[in-house]
Amino acid sequence: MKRLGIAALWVILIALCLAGVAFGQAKQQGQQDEAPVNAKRAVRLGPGGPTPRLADGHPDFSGVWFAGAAGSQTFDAGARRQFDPKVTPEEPPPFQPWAAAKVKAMTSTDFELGRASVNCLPRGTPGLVLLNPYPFQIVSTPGQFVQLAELNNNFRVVPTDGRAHDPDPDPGFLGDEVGRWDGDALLIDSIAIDERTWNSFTGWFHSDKEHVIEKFTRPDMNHLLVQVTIEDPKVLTKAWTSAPRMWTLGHEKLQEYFCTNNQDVEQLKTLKGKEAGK
Amino acid sequence: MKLSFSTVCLLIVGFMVALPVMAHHSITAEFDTSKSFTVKGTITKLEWVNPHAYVYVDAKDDKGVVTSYSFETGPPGNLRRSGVLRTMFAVGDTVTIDAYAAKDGSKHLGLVKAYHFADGKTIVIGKDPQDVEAANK
Repeated sequence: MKRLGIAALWVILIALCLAGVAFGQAKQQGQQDEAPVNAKRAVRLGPGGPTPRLADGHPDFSGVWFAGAAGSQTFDAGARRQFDPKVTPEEPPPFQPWAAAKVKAMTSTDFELGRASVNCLPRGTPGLVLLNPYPFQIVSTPGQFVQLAELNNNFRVVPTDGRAHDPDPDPGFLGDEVGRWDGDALLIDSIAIDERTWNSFTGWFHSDKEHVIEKFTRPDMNHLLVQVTIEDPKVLTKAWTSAPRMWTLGHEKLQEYFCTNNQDVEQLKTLKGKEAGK
Repeated sequence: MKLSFSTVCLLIVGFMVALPVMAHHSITAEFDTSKSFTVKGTITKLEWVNPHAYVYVDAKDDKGVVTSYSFETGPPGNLRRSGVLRTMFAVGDTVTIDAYAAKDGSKHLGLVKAYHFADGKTIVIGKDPQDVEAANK
């Protein structure tokens, strides 16, 4: 009985300590308008102030952005979530029948071997937004949007002056990207996207005719929303639009991430070989 | 030295942190999260690089036979944000590692769940995928 009592005391003490550590770490980051989501794990950022603006009056997206609600890396899966499917559900990709059959024939190992991340390839457009749980930094200036991704140390520089696409662009992981303003929303329009990129971790491949529009908004100081629309007349029956994915403002610098020691591919190939041998 | 409440707590529980799941690959596609194993041995090599840091361990059985293991762990950036630094590990350290087994049947490869050091410090990596899935519902 005495041992049980001591054990219970330890459980309570550790729980208190974890709550204190989480609280202390959040306070050190100087975040504003914090409201506890789970006192032991994460906070969900409040608005933090009005939308900052550039000299030309457009929203300024500058900052380091973390996926989810916490403005930092968090252990709390709920706080990492970028949208609530009950509030803003996402439809599955509207594949044409041949494309649906191709994806259905893939195994979970095929999914892995086809992923850009597993192969240390750039996630490209729109993967940099849809398939990127790592933070990125945006540097906005009048006429230009610069996104610096921690993942693979990728970057993109997009003109926001409303110019037209290159009439004959080469394919690229990011594609040919141009930006224009629609009120307070920045629309980044991309074509000529390298077919080695996927739009999901589960086999959503695309054609050379894919057209992606990313809609960036910053409704307040602490929140960045990105909604992605994908058209692909060779693969999809109609356009697909994502939920507005949420990112929150962090106060940490990006880390280096060069993908140079990838041992997973060989392991997956071994697994694939065993599957084929069944 | 004045210690904050958080610091005092860290000292009491040892070094116990947890990391979000990784995103470079699906954990369950590559590792069998229903099968875990534990190895006690000596760290022989560290690779603190992306997409995953690796810790290599030699373990000696009762008959003196040495088996080498490699353990995949988080990406260095995520580890750093969680307070896990390369300097917390050293070649020659004795460590006990709890890990998930590789799905391809490799017996000497694992995905780290936790490091337990001889001085009582524990580093917990990730969280049970089932819990993450439940939290995401």
